[in-house]
Amino acid sequence: MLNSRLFPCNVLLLMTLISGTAFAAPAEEYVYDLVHSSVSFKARHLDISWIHGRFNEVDGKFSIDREDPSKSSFQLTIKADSVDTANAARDEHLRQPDYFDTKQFPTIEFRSTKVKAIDGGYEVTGDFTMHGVTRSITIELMGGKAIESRGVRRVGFSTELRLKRSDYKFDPKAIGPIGDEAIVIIDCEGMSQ
Amino acid sequence: MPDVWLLTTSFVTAMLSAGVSCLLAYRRGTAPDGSGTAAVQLRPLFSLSCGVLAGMAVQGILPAFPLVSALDRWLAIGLPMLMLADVAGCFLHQQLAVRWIKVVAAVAVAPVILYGSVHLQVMPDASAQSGSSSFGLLPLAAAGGVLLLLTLLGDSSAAKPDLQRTAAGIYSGLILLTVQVTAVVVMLGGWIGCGAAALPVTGAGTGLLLAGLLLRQHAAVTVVIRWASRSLGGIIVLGHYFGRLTVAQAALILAAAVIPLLVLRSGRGLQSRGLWVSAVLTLLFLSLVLLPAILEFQRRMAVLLS
Repeated sequence: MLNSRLFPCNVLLLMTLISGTAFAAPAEEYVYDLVHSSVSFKARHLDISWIHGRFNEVDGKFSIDREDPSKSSFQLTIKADSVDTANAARDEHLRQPDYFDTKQFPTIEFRSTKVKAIDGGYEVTGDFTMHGVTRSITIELMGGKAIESRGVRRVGFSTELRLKRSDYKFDPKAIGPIGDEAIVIIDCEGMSQ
Repeated sequence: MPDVWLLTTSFVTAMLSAGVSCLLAYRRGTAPDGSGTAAVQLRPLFSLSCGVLAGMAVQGILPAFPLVSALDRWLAIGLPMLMLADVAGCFLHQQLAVRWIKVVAAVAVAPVILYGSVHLQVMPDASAQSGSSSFGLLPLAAAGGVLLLLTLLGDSSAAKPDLQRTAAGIYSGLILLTVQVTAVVVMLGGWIGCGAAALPVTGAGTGLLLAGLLLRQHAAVTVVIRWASRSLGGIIVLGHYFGRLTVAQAALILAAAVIPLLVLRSGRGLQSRGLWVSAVLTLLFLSLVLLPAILEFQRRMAVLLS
């Protein structure tokens, strides 16, 4: 008798738990799609023009919680050795200790610490590590629209940030002809795993 | 492009500072070629330090803390550690203990320079496909070996009190020239900072050498040989593992330095054919390194840096 009386309550509790789990959408997990993404940069040369370059080897993963954006996270790891400015000699020079010092600092990394939804994307605060120096930066990741293409769920983001090389302890003597400030342009696509 | 005027000023300042401080340190008159007390042995070390620091001050070279770059670790830990070992050697009378202190210091500099770099990181062994990993033992052993070889050879070659003054000057000059050429090659390869940091050392060495020869102070000349050898080891390791100094260039530079050091170690004087043969070989090896580096620089780098 006792069991039969409790039965409806148990069923109700179970259904509540199941429905709660079912309706709370899980965070979407994505990995960086190297083929459809780019991390590029430009810096002033002699303060008259711009030199453009890109990093060819990038890895990353994003976790996007649409219902609670603060639980989202973004990680990006750039191989500094993969710097490409369309000139092999310059690339070799950029890898040396006067610039990126890639034997000492092989990667450039970003790890988000705080994510907030904004109109058209996310405001992401995180630790940006370059040349052995970690600084907290805030970027506006615009986009976030997800689509399904050929069975793969994709999401895209774009951002542009301005960094001062002197903030990351690059050799001040090497800053001269190349401007201190570099503009980094990130256009990335994530693929669901 | 490096500021040639600044580099020249740094070299001359280091040379004058080391030379003048050496002349002042010996002004009270020490017997020529006298070794004697620790205070006497410390004088050329002090003069060399004065010259190096003055040259570095002109260029504004100051290690950045925390010491994240290899050059900073060499300047702030490596060189002072080797200097402390030398200073300890002035006070200790047991030659075996002195030698061991210097061996330990020289070998310990290798991990200091390579610390935190890709050379010492545990990397997955891609070729093995077995999930095994490899630690940078080879770079550590090679860097330690170069530093140890040049430290011990520099010490044993310098310990020839009966060496003729002119011969000592030529040998010391050859070692200093080797350091300078190595610094230039590293600069031509694209790492200007490392080559520039070597200039105060060669400048101070030149000043100390000239003052030592003028005062007939063998202790000053031996310090030049010892410290030029140690500095050369540091620049080779830095240039190869962080710059673009190739194994072939490093080998030729090592040969250029080791030959005069070995001849010097054998105790042959000015009349010896060995001196002139070693001088010719050193110059030959250095030109084999320097000339292609200049041509390569003109072909690829000069346009970029202009």
